[in-house]
Amino acid sequence: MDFLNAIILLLNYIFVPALAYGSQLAIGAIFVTLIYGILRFANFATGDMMSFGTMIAILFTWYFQSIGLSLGFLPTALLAIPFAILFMGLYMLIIDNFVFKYYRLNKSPPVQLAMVSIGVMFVTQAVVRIIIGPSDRRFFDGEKFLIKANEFKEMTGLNEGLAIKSTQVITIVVTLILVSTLFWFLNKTKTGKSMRAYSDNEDLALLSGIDPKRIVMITWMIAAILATIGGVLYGLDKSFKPFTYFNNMLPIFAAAIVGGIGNPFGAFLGGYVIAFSEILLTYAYKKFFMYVLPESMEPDGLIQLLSTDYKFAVSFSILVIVLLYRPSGIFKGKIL
Amino acid sequence: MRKNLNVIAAYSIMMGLIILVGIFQSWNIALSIFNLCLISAVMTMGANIQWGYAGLINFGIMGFTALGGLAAVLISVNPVQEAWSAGGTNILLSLFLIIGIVLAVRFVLKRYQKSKIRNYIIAVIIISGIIIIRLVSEPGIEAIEEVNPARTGFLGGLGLPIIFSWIVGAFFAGGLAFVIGKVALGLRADYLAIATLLISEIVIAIIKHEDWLTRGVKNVIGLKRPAPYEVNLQETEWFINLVEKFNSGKLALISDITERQVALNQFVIEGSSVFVKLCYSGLFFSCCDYSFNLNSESSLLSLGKNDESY
Repeated sequence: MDFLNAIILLLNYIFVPALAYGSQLAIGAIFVTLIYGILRFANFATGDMMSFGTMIAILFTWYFQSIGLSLGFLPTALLAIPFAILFMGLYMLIIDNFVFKYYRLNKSPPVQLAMVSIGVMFVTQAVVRIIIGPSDRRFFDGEKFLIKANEFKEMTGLNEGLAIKSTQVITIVVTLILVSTLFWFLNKTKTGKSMRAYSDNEDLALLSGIDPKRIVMITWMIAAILATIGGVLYGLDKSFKPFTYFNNMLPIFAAAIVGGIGNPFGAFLGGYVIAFSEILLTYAYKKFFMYVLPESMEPDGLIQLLSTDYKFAVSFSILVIVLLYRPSGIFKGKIL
Repeated sequence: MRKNLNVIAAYSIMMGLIILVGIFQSWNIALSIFNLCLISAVMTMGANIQWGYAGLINFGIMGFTALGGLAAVLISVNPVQEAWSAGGTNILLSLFLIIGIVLAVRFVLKRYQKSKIRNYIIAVIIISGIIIIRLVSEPGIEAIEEVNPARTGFLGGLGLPIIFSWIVGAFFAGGLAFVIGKVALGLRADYLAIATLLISEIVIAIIKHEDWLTRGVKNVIGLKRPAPYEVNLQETEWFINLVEKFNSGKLALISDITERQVALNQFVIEGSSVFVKLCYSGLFFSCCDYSFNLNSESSLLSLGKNDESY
């Protein structure tokens, strides 16, 4: 019984949150990896593009709420996502047309494009702050819990409750659908194959008659889908605050590089690697050991490897370790 | 010549704007802007040496700057004796443990061939080391942070003159640069940027959350200064005389003695902050000049650009 309690405890505090957080990171990491693989630069505006998409989704959510449209037990924001994606795609194309296109056509070095993306980051951040403001916003409505801790306790008669938030389930399900569609698109359709060819060898792809303009446009559209959905899922699960999104950029980068940059599957798994190690290393295991060990050996301290303040530092340290031992990432991306 | 003219024009426009602020707002604000400009100039020249001459991009400059701030606290603040007696031994012990871990990892790296087993050994050393350090340091940290938490709650520094913190800060930054160089110099330019950014974020996270070291995000007030404090300056004889001499024209217009005294006091208060800022300006300017010379020397060395090198 104690053993079961311990497992439920780990599930509740580590496995489920890490899975949800990992999915959110994974979508962001695929976004970074796609831009890197096809447009060949490190996009520092990742976090802020996600916050821009989320902002539009929130505005649509408010509009739908005001006219009384809702999805019942599901959050209204899910209904707003398609509209937000349209606007986000438009924004991406405008930015690409006015900013990135010039440098791409001039074949500027990647550093220059990265610097340009920092500029885009600041502009996007400012736009978001002007439109919706820097404060913390919750836009979740609908049923909050799928399983409540108390109900679970009553159902199973265990000491530990397992609470599963509906946002966590939504996050995981949406991520799985999105990522599998994306992989199907990249591997099976003609457009996806030409995108991969373009990412592999630009000149060869051009010679075989692939239209670079079309590839770039489709890449930005996919990027818009990923950024909006990733941002909305994160916002639903936690809350929307532009500064948090900006901060999330760094773990997302870490996930993309750990997985092997330029490799979408690597980025997908990289997100989970980062999320699980962040939570595993900063969780206080005191209660877990109280269940597992006999009473005489009960621990005094919190049994915490690192304090939770260092959550971000953990992901950065993993990145450093990966860069040291396997510069191409765990799943063999491009060698940096 | 044309290029020089541009530079002169740009600088004179900037100077003119600062002087305008001085005339229309106050010299105090103008001097603060000027000092901020000088500080940024020093940092920019650092970035220029690194990126411009050596071709090594660095997004983590604020991490290095934070280490400079850390040095200022560690050098100049008086040691908190109670905190040292409460948890000093634990902290020192953990410091030795960290050095021990580093030496052990180095020993393993030197002694054994590159293999999977070696990696596992290193991982075991580091993880067990972290666990031991936490066990050792935790009671010490708690004890230190409990000592008068509203005012101190940290170990304090060495109580030396603050000028030394420049030297020590330089060594700290050099140490961090060594670590970054070891880890990340092989990366391509844009990923070097990300790596430096992340490493400096780690440094900032540590400084922010280790309250026993520099009070974390809380303020450390009353740092020693290379320039005098305004309050002390306002009571010194020669300074009041100086201000009186400086403003004698304006003061002569006021006939009433008490009013004159009030006006003089006002001038002394304003003058003191201007004087302190001028002291800082001189200090920063010499610093600027020195790093500018460094810049031109290293450009003579012509390190060459190698931003695509591996």
